[in-house]
Amino acid sequence: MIRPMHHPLWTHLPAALMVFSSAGVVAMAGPWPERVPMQWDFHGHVSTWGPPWELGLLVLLPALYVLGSVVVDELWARYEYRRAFNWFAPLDEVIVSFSASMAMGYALSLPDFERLWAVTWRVWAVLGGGGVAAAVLLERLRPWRPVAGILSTADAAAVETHIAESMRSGGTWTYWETQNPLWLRVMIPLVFLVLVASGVPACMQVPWLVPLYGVPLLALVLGYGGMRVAANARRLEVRIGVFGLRVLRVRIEDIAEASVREFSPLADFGGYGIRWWRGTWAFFFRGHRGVMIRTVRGRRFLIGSDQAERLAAVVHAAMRQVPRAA
Amino acid sequence: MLIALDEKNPRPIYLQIVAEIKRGIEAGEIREGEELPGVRELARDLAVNLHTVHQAYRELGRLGVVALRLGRRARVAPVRRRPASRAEIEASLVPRVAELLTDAFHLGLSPEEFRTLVARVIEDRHRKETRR
Repeated sequence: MIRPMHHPLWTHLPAALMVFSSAGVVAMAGPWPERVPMQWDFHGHVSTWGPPWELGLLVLLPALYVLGSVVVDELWARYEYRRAFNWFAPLDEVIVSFSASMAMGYALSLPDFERLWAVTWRVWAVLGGGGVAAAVLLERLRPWRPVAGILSTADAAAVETHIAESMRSGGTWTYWETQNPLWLRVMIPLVFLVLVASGVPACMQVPWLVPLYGVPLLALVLGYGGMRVAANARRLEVRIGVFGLRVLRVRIEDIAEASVREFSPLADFGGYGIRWWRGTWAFFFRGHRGVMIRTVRGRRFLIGSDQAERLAAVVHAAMRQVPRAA
Repeated sequence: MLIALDEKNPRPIYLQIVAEIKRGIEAGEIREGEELPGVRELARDLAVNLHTVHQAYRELGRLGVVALRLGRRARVAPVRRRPASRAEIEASLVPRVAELLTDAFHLGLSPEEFRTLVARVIEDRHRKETRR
């Protein structure tokens, strides 16, 4: 089964066409001189010359850029919680159109490279303008596929019913989800190595530096492995790292309210991880959505979630199962 | 993802866990590469024996649904992008469909009624996916 892409490939068509057409124009042009201008100084005079085959970079790099943007746009669309305009999408056309115009500028101004920039700007005005307009149009026409993690109201009710049925049948249930993003998996070993490489020689000379390096190293080791949220009929837990260090445990009967929240990791909490801001403890490693838990004692916890509606539905179902204080 | 066990269900607990995890992957509740809870953790949360969860994970590993590596948590294996080979389908799916057909016979269903039932289940699933 081939899963359709969230951000269809045809949205990259203008950029891809520009790459192909510039490659075609460059390939058909000629004969090329032994050297072509490569760099210009502040006064507009050529400062570096190079062989014409290096112009291939003007085709190859944009092609790689388009491939990269296919990946970036797809990742972006996979976290598109509601229909939005992806401003990254027309960025392809801006950048690729410039490279394509430059490549065409070389080909069209042969053999007199004095006209190179004049031709390039003219081609760019047409290619860039048309390409960006086409990209904006395609981006607007692009269908939106809801993220699997988002539940409709009916589905959220189905999750709650599913749990209620399992409780009635005397069965048990558990819910869990994880947040272990790529940046965390890359950053932690990298920072760990840097700290060890710089810390070991430093600590050998100045012993009191050991805790200064040791504490962050310990935090990195404990944090590696991301975050896990687990809920069952009795409690809601947040654990971090491969060792499953428990950083939050709330009994279901202590929960007064659970609701889905959107937040800005940077503006509201100053970054990712375990954060405290204005009376709220927050736990999240990615995204900008989560479930706000308010306890009967008035404490607030924000738990980041890729499937916030589902987590909230689970907590609601669990809350219904436990006897509440009057 | 949610794993709910039904005590009234006659299927062994480990097979219920297997079915729930497979359902969760299909529904997109847990994605490929994501970690499953540790055996001890899941056993505690579901109030079942450690070996039951272990047996479920081994079964999922055998089916290729999860990747098991010594000393590491089980992870959801990459979802198959292309259909399995004919031989694999013959070996894995056909005997189970045949068994279901036999069960249908013992429930008094004709092959035609069984076919209608399968079509209805597929239709229901398709409707759910479209809504999602």
